[in-house]
Amino acid sequence: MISLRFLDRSLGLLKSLKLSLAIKFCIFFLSFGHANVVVAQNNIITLEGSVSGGIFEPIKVALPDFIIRSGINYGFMKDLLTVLERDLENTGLFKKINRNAYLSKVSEFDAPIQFSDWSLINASVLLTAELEKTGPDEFEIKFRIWDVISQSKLGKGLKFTSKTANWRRVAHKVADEIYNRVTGEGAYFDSKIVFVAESGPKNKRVKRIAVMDQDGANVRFLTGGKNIVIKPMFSPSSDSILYTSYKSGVPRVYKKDLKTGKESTFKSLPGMNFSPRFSPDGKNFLLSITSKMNTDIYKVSLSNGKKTRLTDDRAIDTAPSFSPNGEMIVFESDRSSTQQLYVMRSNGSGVKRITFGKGRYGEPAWSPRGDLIAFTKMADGYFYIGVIKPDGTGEKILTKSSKDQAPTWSPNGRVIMFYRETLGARGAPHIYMIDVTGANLRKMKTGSYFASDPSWSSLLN
Amino acid sequence: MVAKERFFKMHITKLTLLGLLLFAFASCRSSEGSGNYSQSIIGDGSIKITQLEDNKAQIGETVFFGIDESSISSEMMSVLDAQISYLKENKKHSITIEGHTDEQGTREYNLGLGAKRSNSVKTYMISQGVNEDRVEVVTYGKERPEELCSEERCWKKNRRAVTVIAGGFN
Repeated sequence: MISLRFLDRSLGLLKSLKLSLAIKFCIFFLSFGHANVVVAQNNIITLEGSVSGGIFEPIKVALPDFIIRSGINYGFMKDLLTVLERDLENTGLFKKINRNAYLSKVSEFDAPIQFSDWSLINASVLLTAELEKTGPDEFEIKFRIWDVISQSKLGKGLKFTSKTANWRRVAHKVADEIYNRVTGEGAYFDSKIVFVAESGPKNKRVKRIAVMDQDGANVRFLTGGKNIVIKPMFSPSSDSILYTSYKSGVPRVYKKDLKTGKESTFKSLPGMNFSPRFSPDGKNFLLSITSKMNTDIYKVSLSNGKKTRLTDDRAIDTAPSFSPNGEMIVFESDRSSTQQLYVMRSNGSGVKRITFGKGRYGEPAWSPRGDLIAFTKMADGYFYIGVIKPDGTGEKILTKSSKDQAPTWSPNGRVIMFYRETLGARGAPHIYMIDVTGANLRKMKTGSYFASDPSWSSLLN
Repeated sequence: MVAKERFFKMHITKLTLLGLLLFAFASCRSSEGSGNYSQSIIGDGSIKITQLEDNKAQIGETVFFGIDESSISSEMMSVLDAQISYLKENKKHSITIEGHTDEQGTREYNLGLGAKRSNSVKTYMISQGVNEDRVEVVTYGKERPEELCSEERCWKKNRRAVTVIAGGFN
C-alpha cells in the first residue's frame, strides 16, 4: 500500500495558479477547433474537447532528475522518472523538455526555485522530487509541482511511501498528480487493463485472459489457453473479473478472484450465457442468456445468484452497460431488424432507442462521467468507434478502419481504448487508445501477443 | 507441432437403405487446436509422445446462411433432410449443432447470431421427427472461422451450422 502525506498545509494561490493555466489551455484548444471550450469553475479547469480531432501544442514540462538520498541508486530514479514521463507524454497533452536544455539542476529539495531558469527554456510546469530509502524494502518520494509561468506552487507538496516492488505504481501516482493538477481532469495512470491475449492462426486462435498496467507493463496471464475466452471485465474494486469461457463446452460466464485465483461459475444460470458487466456498486452483474432463438438481458445478484429478466423481446439483446449512477442501462438489440442502441431503467422499464444513424451500432460503454456512451458502429463495410449522448444526440465518430471494436473508458472518462483488427488470413487484433476529442490515436504494445477485448479498471486504491 | 486440420471421408454402410448418394459420407475432422499425430524422433533419439484428442465427426454437409440470417433456405433443408435420415437410422448417436458466423459483426452479437443458427437447425430437426433429447446446440460466434480470407467468398462459408456427433465416432 502507498501512504501519502501532505508536505505543505497552505493552499497558497491555487485558484489564481489554475486560472493562469486555464488561460493557456484556452489558447491551445481554441486554436484548432470551434467546438473547443475551456471553462474554469470552482477552481477546476474543465476540458471540453472537440471530437472532431485536431492537433494542439502540448504543455511543456520540465522533469529534472530527482534528488537521490542514501540507499537509492541512480538507475532506480531513472526508471521511475521514465515511467512518469511516458504517462504524461502518452496523453498528448504534455511534452517533456529535453534535459540538455536545462539551465539549472535541482540539488536541494527545499531550496527556492530559480523560476527564470525554467521559464527561459519555455517550461510551463516543473516537477521537483526527492527519493529516499526508508526501510529494507521501502522507499519514499517527496515532490512538488510548480506553475513556472505564475512562479508558484501548483497545489500541495506530497510524500508517498511504498514498498520498493510497487515503484511503478508510485511513478503512475506522481504522474496522476501532475495530470490532475494541471488539467483538472481525474487521474487515470494508476489503473489496469484486463484483455484477451491471442496467439496462433486465425481459425485456431489460442486466447488467454491477461492483465497489464495501463501503460502495458506487468503482463500477467489469468487463464491457460485451453478454452476460448471472451471479453473479461473488472469489478469496480478491481479485485475480481467476470468473463465468458468455453470451459464446459458452451459459452458461460465465470468469475475469478484476482487475489486468490479462485474461479467460480453461476449454477443458477441456464444454457449459454455471455456478455457479463458489473453494476457500479459491484453487487450485481448484467449478462445475456440464450434460450432457443432468443437472447435476453438479465441482472444477477453476486451474493445469491438470483436472476431477474430485464428484456423479453424476441431479438438478440446483448452488450449491456450500466450508467455510473446505476440507474440506467444501455444495450444493443436487433429488435428493429439491425443492431441499434437502446437505453432503459435498471429494472428494464422505459426502453428507448437512441441510435438512428446509417448503419449498425453495438458494444455500448457508458462513460464513467455519465455524459457519453461509446459504441462500435458498422456502416459501408467499415467499423468505427464513436460517442453519443445518452439522449441520442451529439453522435461523433472518433475512428474508422476495417475493424475497430469494443470501446472501454479510462477511469476519468477522457480516453477510450478499443481493439483494431487487420483483415485477411493473417489478420490479427491489437489494442489502441484515443482521446475522447479524437486526438492522439496510439497503439498499445503487448509483446508478442495479439490483443483484443480490453476492459479498463477503476483507479486503483 | 500443430498439425493441419485434416479431412477424410468415412463410408457409412447403412446408407444403402436410403439410396441417397447425396449423403454418402460424413466428413471427420480433428478437433480444434490439437495435434493430429505428434510422435516424432527428436535429435538425441528420444521419442516425444503426445496423446491425441478425440476426433469430432461431422454428420453430412454444412448448412450455410445468408448475411445476418438464421432462416434455412430450401436448398439447405435438403442438406438437413439427409442429416435427419441418418439420425433416424443411427439412433445411438446424440449430436451437437455448432452455430458460426462470419467475422463482420461484433463479438457478442455474433454469439447471439450463432445461437440462432444452431437453434434454427435444431428446431427444423425436431419438426422432422428427431428426438429433442438427442440434440444439443452451441454457438461459436466468429471465434472459429473455417475460411480465413476477409472477403465474401470466405465469409459465406463461415456463416454456417455444423452437425457433429457428440463425443465423435468410436
